[in-house]
Amino acid sequence: MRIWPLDSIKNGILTTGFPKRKNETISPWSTIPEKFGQEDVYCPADAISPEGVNLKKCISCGLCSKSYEPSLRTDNYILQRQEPRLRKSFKIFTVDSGSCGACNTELMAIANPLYDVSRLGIFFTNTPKQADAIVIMGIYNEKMEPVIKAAIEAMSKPSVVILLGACPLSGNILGKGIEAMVDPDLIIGGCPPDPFVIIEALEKVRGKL
Amino acid sequence: MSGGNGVNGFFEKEGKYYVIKDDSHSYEESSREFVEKLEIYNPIMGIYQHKVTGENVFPFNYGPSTGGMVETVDFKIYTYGERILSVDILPEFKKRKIQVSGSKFDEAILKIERFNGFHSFSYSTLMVREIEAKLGINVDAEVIKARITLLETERIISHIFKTARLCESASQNVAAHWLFSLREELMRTVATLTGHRYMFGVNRVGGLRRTFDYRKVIESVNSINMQYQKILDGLFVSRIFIDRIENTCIVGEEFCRGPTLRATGIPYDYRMMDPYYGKLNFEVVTEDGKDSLARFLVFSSEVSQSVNILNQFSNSDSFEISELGSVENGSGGIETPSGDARIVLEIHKDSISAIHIRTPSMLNMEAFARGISGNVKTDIPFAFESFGIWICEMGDVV
Ligand code: SF4
Ligand code: SF4
Repeated sequence: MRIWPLDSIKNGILTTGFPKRKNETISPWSTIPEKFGQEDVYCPADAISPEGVNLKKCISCGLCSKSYEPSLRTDNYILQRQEPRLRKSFKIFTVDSGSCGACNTELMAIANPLYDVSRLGIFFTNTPKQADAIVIMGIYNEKMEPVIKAAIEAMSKPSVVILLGACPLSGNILGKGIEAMVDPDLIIGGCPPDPFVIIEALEKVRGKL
Repeated sequence: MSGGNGVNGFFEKEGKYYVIKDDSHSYEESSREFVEKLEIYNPIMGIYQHKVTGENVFPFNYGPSTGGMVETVDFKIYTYGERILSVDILPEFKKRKIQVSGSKFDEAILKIERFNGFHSFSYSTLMVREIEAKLGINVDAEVIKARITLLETERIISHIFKTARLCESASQNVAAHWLFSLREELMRTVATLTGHRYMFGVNRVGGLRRTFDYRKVIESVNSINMQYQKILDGLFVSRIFIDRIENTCIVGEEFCRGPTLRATGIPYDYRMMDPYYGKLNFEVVTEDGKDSLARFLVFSSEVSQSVNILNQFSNSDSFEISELGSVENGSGGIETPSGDARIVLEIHKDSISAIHIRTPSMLNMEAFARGISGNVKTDIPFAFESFGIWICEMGDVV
């Protein structure tokens, strides 16, 4: 019979030291692309302009690879407001308004032992009443509008509203975004965002970075 | 297996109803009366209806947005206490309508990848193969090997995720954490080699947009499988785990697809008909318990089966395309990790002009709704996880 705790000890510490240490990996095209060439490229999400790539629109597809390459940076987010009162403990309630499932599982991934965000005081909760943050994923869906509004209303204060992924930010290439409906404190780009990007952004919004 | 009357799926378009018959690659016009009699789904309300009434029976709502579930879904549970008499399932809260017809091929592939991001490569392959078949494009053996590698890797990732979620729901937290770590390791390998953790942007008509060394993926898959088998050894001797999942959510074969169907003893796996898998040597995994334990046994055995499939061509330099068969007529289907998905596609020049898709979750959801009756409310989380249902793929693709 296997004794799992012994196996775990044999495996040693697998958890990242991020954000104090550098991230071990990153999903290349989930990071914002940077220009390196002059060849005209087609962007299906209309994310490219002379100013650069719009993180709200970029869907991480890599179709621009003739002139753009992944930046491999972890700063693919925009912070609108910090809430340092949430530095000690940070409980997240998630809402899926119309996702493909990948943003959901990337957000869940930050709790796996390789990231283990409980070491940073970040946890998940099953009810908005106990939440310090609501993370909304997926495109706009009429049926979810009252659900999202009720969840934001039910949260204790102080709390923050976070939009995760290209779907709620721009509607992706699939529908309408959600930004007009809520007033987000933090938006995180990527399709889906890499777990390291999510962790850095969460630490920023609670004033720890 | 069909939903009744030899019908495999249905859809509504511009007020007319169409059905897809078993083993058919095309659809035929039907009527609303006929579709309603299938008892699969209420096409008007988008609800899997199983309402019951009686003395002291009350509906108990679980959802639509509850932290314990991966996706948004609402269960209306009819009960007079702990025991579930019946469940209505409302998946439409997050329902998306994805407009694919009218899109150029590249954009259509990006959209179908995002139909179910967790099984994106299965869906992109389903679409590109159909387009390639219609255009008369034959891809070479290396492309087919790379595609099979990602299809099987996606299956392994998905099955490990299901095992982890099942362990989590059955309070096997050490095993769950270990399994989530394995999945993470494999996703990191996929990201490094293909450029994306969920394989988005990799497939294209006529080949792959980003080439990668599939042998390196297979090496990683072998090492992950060795660790996965160690975890299974522990789970198989855990009476607590086995007792928790044995005899819960027993289903008949009706409506079941994929591992759920194979766990009722039916040896149906679309890969047996898939030209990509033509002469690869494998047997369909079956169990006959029909419960959560049988489903767990099927998908955990399928991880080793996928590794064996990949090792067959990875270890052989003489493996020729002729052994893999050709895709001249298109396959019209694919075995996703949750079961077979079917596609009917029409193209015009470089665009999709019409598309219809039937996904395994549409049918497995009905199997779950029927099976969960008679169980207790606390059985719902892990019983549901054992089906591998994705709500995202219950949306519309038009
Ligand atoms: S990765 Fe895709 S969406 Fe992003 S800028 Fe490049 S082409 Fe546009
Ligand atoms: S942003 Fe991309 S990964 Fe996230 S839900 Fe939307 S399509 Fe899926």
